[in-house]
Amino acid sequence: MKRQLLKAMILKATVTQSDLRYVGSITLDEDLIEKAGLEEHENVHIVDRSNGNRLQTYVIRGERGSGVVGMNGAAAHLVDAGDRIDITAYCWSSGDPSPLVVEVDRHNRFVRYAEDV
Amino acid sequence: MLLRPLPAPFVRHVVYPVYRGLRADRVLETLDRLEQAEWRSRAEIEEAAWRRLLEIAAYAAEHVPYYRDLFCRTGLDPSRIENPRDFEALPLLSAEIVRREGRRLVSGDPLRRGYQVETTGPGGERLQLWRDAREAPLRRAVVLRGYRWAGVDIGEPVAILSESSPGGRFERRAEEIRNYFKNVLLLPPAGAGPDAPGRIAAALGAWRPALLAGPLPALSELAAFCSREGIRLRPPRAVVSFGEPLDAERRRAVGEAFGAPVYARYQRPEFSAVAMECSQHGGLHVFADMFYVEVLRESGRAALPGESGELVVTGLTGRYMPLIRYRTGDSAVAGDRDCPCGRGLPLLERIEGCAGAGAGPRHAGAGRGGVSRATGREPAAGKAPQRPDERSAERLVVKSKIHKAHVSATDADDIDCLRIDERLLELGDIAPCERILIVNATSGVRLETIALRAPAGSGAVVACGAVAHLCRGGDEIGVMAFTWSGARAGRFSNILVDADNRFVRFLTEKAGDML
Repeated sequence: MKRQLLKAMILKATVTQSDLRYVGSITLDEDLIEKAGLEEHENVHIVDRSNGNRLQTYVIRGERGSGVVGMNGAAAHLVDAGDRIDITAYCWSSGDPSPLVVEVDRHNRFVRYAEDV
Repeated sequence: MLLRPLPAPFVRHVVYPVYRGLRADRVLETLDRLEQAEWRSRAEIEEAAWRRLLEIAAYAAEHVPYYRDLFCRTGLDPSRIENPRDFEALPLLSAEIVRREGRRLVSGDPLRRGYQVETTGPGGERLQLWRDAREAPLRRAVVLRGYRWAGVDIGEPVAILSESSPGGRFERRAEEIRNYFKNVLLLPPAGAGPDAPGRIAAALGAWRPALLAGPLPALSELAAFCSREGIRLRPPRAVVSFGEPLDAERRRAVGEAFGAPVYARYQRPEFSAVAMECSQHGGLHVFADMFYVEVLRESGRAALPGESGELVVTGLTGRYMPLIRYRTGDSAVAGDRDCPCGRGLPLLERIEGCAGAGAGPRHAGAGRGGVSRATGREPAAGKAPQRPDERSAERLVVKSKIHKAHVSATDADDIDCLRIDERLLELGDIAPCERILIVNATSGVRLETIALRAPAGSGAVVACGAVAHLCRGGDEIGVMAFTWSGARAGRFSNILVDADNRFVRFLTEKAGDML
């Protein structure tokens, strides 16, 4: 049987921009996308630690190394610049859970993979 | 009496130039031009074909009654077609439509001349078309170019197993004489009668063609006859096969029987030769000077390289009766390779035959599953924990998005759903009853429900049931649908609509884009 399992989580990322006028989704530093094993257009759930809002959207690529974590379009209503968010992706799998949990610093730079999940 | 060919140099340097000169049709000059153009880069050739495509679309919208109505009805503006995705929004043309519309597909432009021809459509039924008179030299030059790809020059003796010969006895005789002076011998198909294969073999023995061309069934039949009777004809330099897809087995059988390489040519009665193999025999080069070829999935979206779909052809040069996005009923495997021969003409991997009923697109080759490129990489730093089993794990990816739709009405009594103009559902690749995510750009609310159909072209986007609480009339909303990557269509159908929910264009979304 296949289950929806946690696949990747980026912990406590800091929202760098939040703009209703931009098209779509969440823009993520390409480096973070890779570290978390995500792909462009992949579905992610966002939980805002600062205000409790939760939403789902999909990823688009931002400049590598820029530390960008941008909320675009309608999602900007729910998440403000400066908010701390967790970004979660699930997979559809019959295997064992083995998520990649990525810790980042205040500038959204990769620090380490969390080991005890 | 068995005909023997004229000396090839005499035909090449005397008869042919004089004949073409008398007709003043510039076939040889056109051939020169084609042969120079085919060595340009694929990007240049595709760019030129794309420009021609836009020109023909704009011309048709202006001069051809059928297309004038079609562009008007669908709200498409040829001057706003920016990329192949935009072009995909133009409805396909079928043989039935051509029969029904008839002269309404003929240009009203007084400067254009054409002539009527009887051909056949995809099912073999009769189809009347009008050909553009100015296109005739190009059609001849394209065939000659194909012969030269197979290593056979103008004037060298050619034998063609023909499927049909022109009408009356006098016409047939005139055609025979014309062909004789061009060193072309027309033969009946091998199945024409009990003694036909024998007569054909005898005629070929005397004619000694450098090139033998014919429909694949006729070639196979003749090959089988020669093998059976132990007849070894002097090998031509090349055999050109058309009419049916050339599978490996028949390629070998025909090649061995005649002792020559076999070149597949793809042609349609409606268009003539559309694509042909070069000496690499690895796929067919599309004659992009004359045709824009699409390979489409059943859904109407473009197939990915390596995937098979229906061949849809647009004639780029015939303006008298423009055929834009004509459904051939044949299926082919799309390509995206540069050919080692160095020609930039785009490749079709192969022709697969008649697109039969029901059979969905088959995938050529394995390995287009859910395993991604990104997850294949090892993280650069840190101790990388093990990833989920990638063979069984699929990711959820966005496959559809409609940008900037506006809620046109609400209906709290209806079932909980969003009713969307069917045309937008098609363009956005969203099925009725598909689970969707609605994001309300006016209020910020996000919710999940299903999509259902509203009448095509109505511009309706109706918030129904409980959705009506969260999306009010006039709200600007986005609609998304996701899929598991193993089933991923491979494409993101991302469309922009205007305030009346009419399709504007397809989007490619990049970070920082604004609308």
